Amino acid sequence: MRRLLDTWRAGGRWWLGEEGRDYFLLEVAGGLVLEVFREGERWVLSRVLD
Amino acid sequence: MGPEPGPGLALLSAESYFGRGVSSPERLLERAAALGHTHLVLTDWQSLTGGVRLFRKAKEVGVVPLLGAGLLLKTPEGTFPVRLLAASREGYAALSAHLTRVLAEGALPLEALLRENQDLVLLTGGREGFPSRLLAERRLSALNRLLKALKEAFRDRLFLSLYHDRLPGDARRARVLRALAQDRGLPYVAALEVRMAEGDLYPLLDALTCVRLGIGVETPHPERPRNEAWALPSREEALKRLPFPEAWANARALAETIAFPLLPERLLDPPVPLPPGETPMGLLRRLAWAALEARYPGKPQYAKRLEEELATVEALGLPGFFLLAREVARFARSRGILAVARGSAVGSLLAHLLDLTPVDPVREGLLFERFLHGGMKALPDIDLDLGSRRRREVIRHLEETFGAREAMAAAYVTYRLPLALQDLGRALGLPAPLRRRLTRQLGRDFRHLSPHRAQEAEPLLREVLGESPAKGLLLHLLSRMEKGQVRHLMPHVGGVVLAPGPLHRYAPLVRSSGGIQMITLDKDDLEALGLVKLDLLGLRMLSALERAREEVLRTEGVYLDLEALPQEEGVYRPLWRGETLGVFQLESPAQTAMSRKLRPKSLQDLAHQIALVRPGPIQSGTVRPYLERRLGQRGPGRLHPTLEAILGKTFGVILFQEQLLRLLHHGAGLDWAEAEAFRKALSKAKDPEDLLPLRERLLEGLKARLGLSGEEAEAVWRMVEGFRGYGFTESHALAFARHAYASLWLKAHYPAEFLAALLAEAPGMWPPATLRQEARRLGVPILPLSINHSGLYPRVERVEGKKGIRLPLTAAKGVSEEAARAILRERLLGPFRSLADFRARLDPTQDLLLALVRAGAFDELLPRREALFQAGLPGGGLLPLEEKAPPLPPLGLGERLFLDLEAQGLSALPLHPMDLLRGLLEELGATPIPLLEAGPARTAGLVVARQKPPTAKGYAFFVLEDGPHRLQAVIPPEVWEEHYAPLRDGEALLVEGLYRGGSLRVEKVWPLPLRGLQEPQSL
Repeated sequence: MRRLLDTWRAGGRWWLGEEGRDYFLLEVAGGLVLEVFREGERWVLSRVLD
Repeated sequence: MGPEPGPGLALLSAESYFGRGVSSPERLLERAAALGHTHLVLTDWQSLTGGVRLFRKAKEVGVVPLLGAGLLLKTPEGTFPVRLLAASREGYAALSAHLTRVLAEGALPLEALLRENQDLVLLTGGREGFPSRLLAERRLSALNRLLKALKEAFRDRLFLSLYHDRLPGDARRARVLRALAQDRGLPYVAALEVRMAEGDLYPLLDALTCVRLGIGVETPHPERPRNEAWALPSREEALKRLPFPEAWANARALAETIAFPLLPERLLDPPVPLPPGETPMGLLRRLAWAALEARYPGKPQYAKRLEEELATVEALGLPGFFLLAREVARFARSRGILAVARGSAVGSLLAHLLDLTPVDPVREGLLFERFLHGGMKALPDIDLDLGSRRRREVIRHLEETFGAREAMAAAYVTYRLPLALQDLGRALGLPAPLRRRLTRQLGRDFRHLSPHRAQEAEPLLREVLGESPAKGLLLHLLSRMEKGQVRHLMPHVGGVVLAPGPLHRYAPLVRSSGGIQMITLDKDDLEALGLVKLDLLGLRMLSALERAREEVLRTEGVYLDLEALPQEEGVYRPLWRGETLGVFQLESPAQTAMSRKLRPKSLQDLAHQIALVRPGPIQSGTVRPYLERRLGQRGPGRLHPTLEAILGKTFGVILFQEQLLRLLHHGAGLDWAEAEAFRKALSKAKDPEDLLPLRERLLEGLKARLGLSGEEAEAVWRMVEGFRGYGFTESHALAFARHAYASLWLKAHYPAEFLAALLAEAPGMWPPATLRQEARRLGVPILPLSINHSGLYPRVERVEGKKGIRLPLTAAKGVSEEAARAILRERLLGPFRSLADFRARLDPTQDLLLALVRAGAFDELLPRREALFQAGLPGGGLLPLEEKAPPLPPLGLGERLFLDLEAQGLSALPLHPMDLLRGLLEELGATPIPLLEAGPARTAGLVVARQKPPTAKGYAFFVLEDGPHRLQAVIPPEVWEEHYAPLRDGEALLVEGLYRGGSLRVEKVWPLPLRGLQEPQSL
């Protein structure tokens, strides 16, 4: 990871029992920007931005 | 402004459930205190309602309270939300005035704010605020123009607010806004949005936001919260989101600068029109002394009492309050509206001399100090009972006289379980029939439950929802609601508030949907702001008495003075036989039984009886000793002479609040203010620990003052503890006793007129069908609804020299007053000759026509089945107006009875539904109610009343009716449990149990089928 660009939180569809998620917007080597979130212990890639 | 925030933060943008939040102001303060914050600014959306509660609670938790509000600002560049903070009492008044305008118009014009902003601070708002919006739209020049205009008006009271809702891009936005402020030389503050005390309230906040927006949870909306960010933050969390220490320091410095005390030190006397050169106190004195000279000349005890009362009123600065009440009562009477004071005001000679009450407090030995005393902290109450039908006329008169200085108080409508289930169920997408089933399922036991205790109703919810996720979700949301969670405001039933100046200085005013001007504070909060309120209570019985008086005037040409009816023993006698139906305050089963035992024969007896059957005397075990001594079954107890003087007339028990106060004053040596505080503390005490200091104080006082032994003093304490202050004031009971006597008197002398009035006003607990049975018992015929004879209200008609009651057009369900008036106007041109004639002349909607036909309005003109056939045909157009019906059998009596009951709630037929069951009941071995004898019994009746008071330890009380006879059925908890479904749903019941003293203790229950039964043998 080169730098953390932004973070935010989505409350999720609580009425379906979904947990809230913390999202991170990361810039990685090569200039690629990734949107990832934590789910339990693991990281999930949500989007890749050019 | 300092560069570093202190350890505690100032939170500038909090909303409670009076705005768009979900927590109470108190809960927000508690949370702020727990997290170590120093200041909390409540900025509810378009509301200042939470202010008083915020300021009261703040003293306790040690957080500095401040007040502001969010509102829409309409500018040439667009309409944007802003937050205005009050920097003083004057600023508060200006904000309140602005909000009054916003509530009427939807937004505040920029010019109004530029003109009126003294002592107001402007925060530019969050995500939707104009800086963010205009920057996002790249309208920099518009932003500059708006900032310039506001800066010129507000100078150093304009702040750019930094926000962070944990949404994408918020960190960048905060940095940009900060840079903008620095660039333009504007001060800026950290202002994180707060709408809930804790983060785990997020689902509830979201669900209630959906309720407010009228959408379901699956529908996206920009106003919905999107995560837990609107929870009240800790310092660490706050600084993480807005890492600008100077912005937090600025917020703190701002809060310190603008904090002000909201709650005043004294009461504000309301305005009254005065003759030139007259002061309110001067006028009051003149009126009172003139009345005294005229009515009680040469009676020094009256003069002495008046002098004392006037001195107290002067010391408290409340002469206007009395003059105002007098003005209201005078206006009402001038219009023929009954107006009588109730409550503690009746204990005042001044109130008597000003014609607020016919009760002479000196003769009755009533206590002025229960009403007013020099050490008073709370406001006195003058409650005026007015005939409910015409109460609006009085309120309109006040609006016209006092304009902006008058408004109705608000009542805060709090969530109960049924409403919470409806709201949350709708948001979660539960279909309406399912929600209705849920509400019905709650029945009587859980209807009043606060949502946070919903878990107790879980088995019932499970019956409807099974183990579906919706049940768990609903229970979770409900459990997170606060006790007393406010849903919305509505006008209080009677509280009118008046201020020396425009009321919008105290809180925003709004027109309710009914057109009433309402101030957005309830009566307790108004009182805390020093405002005086007058309770104008609509009492249906007074309307019924007025109406009966009008009917007597019409039929007999006699105008009755209802406040000066002669005392006649014969009027009381029906009570001794338990014939109480329609008698004010005495028609419940418990009062009926008491009437038989006490056999009252004076107004004082009635007052005692009214006060005796109340929670206080019942729970304190007062009833039995009172009864036994009154009936001579037990000798009078030995009392200390001081106590004897206080309790003697109620046979040694405490029946009235005044007696408790006298006992504390004369018996235990407390001054009046202490005695009143003692009474209040006693009535509010919840736990034994709350009672301990009161007990000690009383025992000490009784020993010191009267020299009572420990045991004697303990006996007095037990009486005091039991009474708890739940009882009536004697003055109130006497006022009610007079209404009760007037209703008895009219029933005895003019039964037809009185019953017509009861049917019109429904002042009591019994349904019209039960009143109809009483008419049958009293030999007053009920004349059927008729399209050519019925009026707007039930009226007395002579038929063959006998008075009967004609049912009105409005008795038909679905016929409004407006529709009935249109029919009456058309009838002036001649009677209706047929249904087709009616249809041709009025062109009624089919619903209206069917409602009339079903209720038998055309029975005189053609058989009801044929009329129904014709009414069912589409009207107008090319089709013929009259179509011959095929041969139809006439309605049987039973069919007609049930159709009448369905279509108009009662029937002119001299028949009761139980008459249809006679044969079956005989086969089932049921004894008719009037023939019951003490011992094991089986009987049956129509259920006409169901009560399950929370204080009754699980017992339910039903009233079963058979013709004009009624029986109280007492249902113990185990029977309730076992027979829950028939008890909840059954229209008529067969019951078995033990009959004693006029009531049946139920052991077994069976539902009885009412419909589809055989026709009665005869009428």
